Amino acid sequence: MAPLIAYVDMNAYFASVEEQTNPALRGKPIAVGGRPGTRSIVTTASYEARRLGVKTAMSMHEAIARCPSLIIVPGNYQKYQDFTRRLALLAESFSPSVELCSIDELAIDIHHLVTNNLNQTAQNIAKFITAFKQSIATELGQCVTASIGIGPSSVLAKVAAELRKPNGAFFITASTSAARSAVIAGLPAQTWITVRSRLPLEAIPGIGKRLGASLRLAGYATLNHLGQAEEGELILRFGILGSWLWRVANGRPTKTIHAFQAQSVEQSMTHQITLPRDLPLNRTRAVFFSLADRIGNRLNRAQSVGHTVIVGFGQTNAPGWYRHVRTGAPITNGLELFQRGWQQIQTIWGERQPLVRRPTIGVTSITPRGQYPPSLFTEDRQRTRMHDTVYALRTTYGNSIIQPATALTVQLDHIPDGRRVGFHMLAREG
Amino acid sequence: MTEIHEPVQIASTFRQRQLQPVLMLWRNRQYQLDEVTSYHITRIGDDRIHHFAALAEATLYHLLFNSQTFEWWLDGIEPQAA
Repeated sequence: MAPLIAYVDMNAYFASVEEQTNPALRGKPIAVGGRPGTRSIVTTASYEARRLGVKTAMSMHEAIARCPSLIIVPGNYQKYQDFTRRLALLAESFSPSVELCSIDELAIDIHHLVTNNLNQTAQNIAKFITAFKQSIATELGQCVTASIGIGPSSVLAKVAAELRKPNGAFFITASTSAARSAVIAGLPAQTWITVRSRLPLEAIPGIGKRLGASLRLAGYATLNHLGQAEEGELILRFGILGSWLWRVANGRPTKTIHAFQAQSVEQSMTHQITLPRDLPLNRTRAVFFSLADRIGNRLNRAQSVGHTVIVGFGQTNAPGWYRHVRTGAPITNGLELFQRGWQQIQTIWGERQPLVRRPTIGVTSITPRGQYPPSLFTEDRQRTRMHDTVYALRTTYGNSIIQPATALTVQLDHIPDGRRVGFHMLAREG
Repeated sequence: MTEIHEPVQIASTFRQRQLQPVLMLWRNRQYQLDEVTSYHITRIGDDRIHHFAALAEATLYHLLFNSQTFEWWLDGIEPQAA
């Protein structure tokens, strides 16, 4: 059976969830980001705000300068996560193979819709799209919409979803007759050969500015050039990436869809915040620790370990500094993550104390914890037991029940999340 | 949002396997909740907290329901007049 993937890309996701929650925001330029008055960035802007020049990742200060009527809504990421969980469960009612690609994107394996009859397949796909959009409206609300791309691989399906934003649908197929059948069934469609000839290299998710520039330097200025090259030639020049480039350029599947489960292992976990003012690196130690502690919580909840530390910081008037460092032993808790990450920062920066705007720490290369035997060292086992006990307490009574003393030295105005005990906001902890 | 954090009394129904607040008694006044605009769940320890945004007249009420203790709280209100 031919592979077929539906890629669901939510439109201005956080903004649309906020519009759904609060009808007073509908149809107005809104931006989801940090609290007004802080040095935050625009996480998501509604389409009304985008029309007025507000863009994702723009500083809130600049966004307000461009659009004085902009309404800033503080993000509620637990709410967005729960909406995404419900979206994934909804997708599972359409197919058993659903992969959560990010908080606002998911890929659904819909190869079961493919039949020997092209017209029937096209009708099946068109019906699926209509039903799926209807389900989103019923389950999550009318304001929450998605663009759906259909293609033989998740990369092509994502490209298709990008081509019809917002709230559209597009089918990229290998054959002209399949595209024609889809158009007859009311689904906009084109062949990949047609689509790729008018797309820049950077339209492919995974090809950024740097890789795009490298490809152009190597003589591959367009996707057509990549598609016409021999796979061996690309592998010789770009290694394992060459094979991926060739497969993408020729519309071949690049990976399989992994089934989503409520307890599925996440791909990476990263936390970052923008400090209210730039601070010397040595004064951000407790902030890094606090962020690492949150990652530790998430690792424990997911019963997972990480193998690569992501650590770095953004600066105001200088390029950000970020490192991915593979670790020997897996990282199981926040303390280990902090120690490895902080060691990296200290090694690189030494005596110099750059001003930090946006501390970032996280783990990637995440695998289930059960794959690794317990350490042979008593001290390690004792530490693991201590962390397990701390996380068990937090699971039962909430995160505020027990905090590392180091994190309590953090001035809470650096950590912009009000922590709650029961329903009462705590002004300060510790 | 104006934060309230007060316990309230709620009459609710089950529609399509979903708890739905329909009537709220707060500070001795009764409010007819016309529409639930959004719903999501968070956790505080073992407690599952159900968050509802419900419209009544020209105000959006943010309601919390703790399914462990069966308590309803009014978290905050947002006037809808822009």
